[in-house]
Amino acid sequence: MSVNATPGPPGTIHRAAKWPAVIAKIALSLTALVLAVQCQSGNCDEGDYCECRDGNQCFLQCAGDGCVQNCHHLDVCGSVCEDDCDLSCHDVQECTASCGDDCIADCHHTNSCSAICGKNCDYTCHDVSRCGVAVGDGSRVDCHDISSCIVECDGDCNVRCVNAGGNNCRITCSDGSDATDCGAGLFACGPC
Amino acid sequence: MRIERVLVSLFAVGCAMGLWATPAAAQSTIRNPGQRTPYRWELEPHLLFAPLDPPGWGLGEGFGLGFRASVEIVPRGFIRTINNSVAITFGADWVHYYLGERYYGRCSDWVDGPGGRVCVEVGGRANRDYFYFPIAMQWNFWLHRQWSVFGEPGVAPYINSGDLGFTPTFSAGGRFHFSNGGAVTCRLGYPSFSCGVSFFM
Repeated sequence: MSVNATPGPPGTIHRAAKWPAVIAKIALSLTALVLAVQCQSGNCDEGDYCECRDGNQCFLQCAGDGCVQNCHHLDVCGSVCEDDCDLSCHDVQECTASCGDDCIADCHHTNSCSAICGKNCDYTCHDVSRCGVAVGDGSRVDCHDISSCIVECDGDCNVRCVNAGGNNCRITCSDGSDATDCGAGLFACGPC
Repeated sequence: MRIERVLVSLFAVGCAMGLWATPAAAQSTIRNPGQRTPYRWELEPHLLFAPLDPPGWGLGEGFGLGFRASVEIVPRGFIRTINNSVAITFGADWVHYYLGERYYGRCSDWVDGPGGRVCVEVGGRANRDYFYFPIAMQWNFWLHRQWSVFGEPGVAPYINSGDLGFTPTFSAGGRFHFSNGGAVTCRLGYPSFSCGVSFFM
């Protein structure tokens, strides 16, 4: 940019600018800045895949339904989602999950798994010290290779509990009664 | 990835500033107090980039728009022997955080489940839009007929989800004076970086 100095009072700088060139340069500068700031990660909207890994604590939340959320290699990790979500958590000290209806969740190789699910939840817990799940009507819970498995069913549900370190499966139905022992490690609130 | 984005952004800003570069000349004004554009008000619309987590519950990076007004209060500054001045700067900035609420964050609500606590809400009451109202002291150093720099310590009240909060703010910035009454002004700091055009009045 060429600059022409013109006379003026002492201590004051006056210059005649070439405004078209100046405006063009401003436009180019702002364009470059906008391009720079647009380099962002996406968010966890409906149907997105979201992941937390490597660190101390992380909590994922889906902005609606249908997210796929994955936690691993953390001290504490939690997933929060509405309906139709697919949640997994592994190699974490403390995993928590909160989900609406029709969710699939898998928690393994952790110290503890805690979850609250709505209807038709499919929850699997394995290679875990403690597993505790509250599920809604029509749900299925699979606990295996764990130290303890505590399940609260709100409605009918089926629970498979094997290799649970002795008698450490406790399934409670919504009326407060114990679940029916269907044999072969299967328990049910409602029909077997 | 975050550092890479910051570097890319700085690079872009640097390239943009490079458009304005002119050959250096013996035009230093730092040793000449008062040799600069006289002004009372500096008005500056700008773009914002926030690479750091916002205050409060939110997490993540964002960008936005803002406006800053600065009024000169000490034309000769704190150091009498050099070309410096002090202004009060204040304004309003809107920043939209891409990862502010939903994607990841802190757990803001726990409930008891059969196996222990379960997180049922992430990110507290934060949403992705923050409105900052920074007010700061702006200490200017008029280095050159085309370049000046400044530091801005202050406080930035902010509104997020209807709640009022306060955060300290500090920025270091620079201007390229492309005319007697205008400059490209960029600042790095917290809670956001900015780049805009200043009009001196």
